[in-house]
Amino acid sequence: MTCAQDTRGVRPADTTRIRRCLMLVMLVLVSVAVLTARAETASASIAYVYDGQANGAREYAVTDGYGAIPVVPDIGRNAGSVCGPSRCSYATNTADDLVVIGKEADLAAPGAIRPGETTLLDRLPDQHSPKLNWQQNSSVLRTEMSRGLAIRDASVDPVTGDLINNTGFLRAERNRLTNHGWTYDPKTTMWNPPG
Amino acid sequence: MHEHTDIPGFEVSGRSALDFEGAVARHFAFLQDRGYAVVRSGSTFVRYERTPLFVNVFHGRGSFELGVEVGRSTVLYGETVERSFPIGYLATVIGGEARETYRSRTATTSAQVDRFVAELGHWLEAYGERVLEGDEATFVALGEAVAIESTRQMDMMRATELRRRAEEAWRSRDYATVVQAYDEMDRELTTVDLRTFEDGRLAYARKALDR
Repeated sequence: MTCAQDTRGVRPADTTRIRRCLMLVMLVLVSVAVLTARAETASASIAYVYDGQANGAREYAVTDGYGAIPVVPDIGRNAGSVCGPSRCSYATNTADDLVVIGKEADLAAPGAIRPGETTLLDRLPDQHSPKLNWQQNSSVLRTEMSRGLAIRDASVDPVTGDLINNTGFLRAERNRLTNHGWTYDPKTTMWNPPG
Repeated sequence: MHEHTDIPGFEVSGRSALDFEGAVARHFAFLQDRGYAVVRSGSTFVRYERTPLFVNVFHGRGSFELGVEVGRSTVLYGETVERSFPIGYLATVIGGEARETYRSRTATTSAQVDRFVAELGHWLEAYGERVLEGDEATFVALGEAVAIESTRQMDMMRATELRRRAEEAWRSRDYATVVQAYDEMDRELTTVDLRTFEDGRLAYARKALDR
């Protein structure tokens, strides 16, 4: 009996064969779908590209045409970004944006906040008191830390990566990170979560 | 006077009432006598420049901390970057009276803002002559001061992690890990000393391992 045979009036003994045929057909369909997807991926070359940022090399699937689409989630940065030789377009303020901390002057410097990055400032309206401001700041930072994604520090020596400007709320933020087991890497200027 | 220009995205409502901008204009006017010009002035941030040197005066957006940074632009791998140094480092580099008289301040009223900005202005005028003239040796010394402070901070971070590891190991009587963690602190972290009780634990753990 083949799968194409008329199955009207089948005997109970044929039921098992029919089931096997159906499973075979489903298996073939799934295989075709998987092979098609792999063929599409294979048509794009995988390249490690230094993105010019502190995090170093990231893996991109480079499409045939214009641009590169990150295929590795990395540390949560630039989700959905599409980059070309001279420009990138980014979805701004997504949940996956890389958070940057630092002094106002450092965050406000031209080019300090890169595409795919965000500061906490939008979530820190002035409460008109340092104490209330810190409570708010601390809470927002705690939320960010709970995401478990690296945080970039913008108040660093551009030559050595050393932390500078260790005063005020920035000092308190760094202390909080340190006390929760986060470590700073001067090579990448990133605060990395423990573990 | 430069036109009022709050940094886009950094405006703080109601802060102009503290007149930080006016206080800086009054008490840092000496910078203009030295050839510096205001290139940005807002309710929490004022910047003076005399290329390639600059001075940033700020009033912390959330912390209300008052601060001053001195710095200069340098070319690094073909790209212009700014190296700025809070004047707290300058106080450390100069030492003596400069170090004793430098105070970090927080100001939440206009009277405090005026008084403490004046204090910072006078301090910079009194002790900052060389750095404001771009003295190479002073900038090198500032870079070294930052490196020393950075080493101390990195050591503290590492010590926090090692202490956590040692504490857990001590509770579970994992003496090998206790010795390893405290040894690492003692050997590698040049700016951190073992506390008395940690010395005691280390000795006890070593003895326990020798038995």
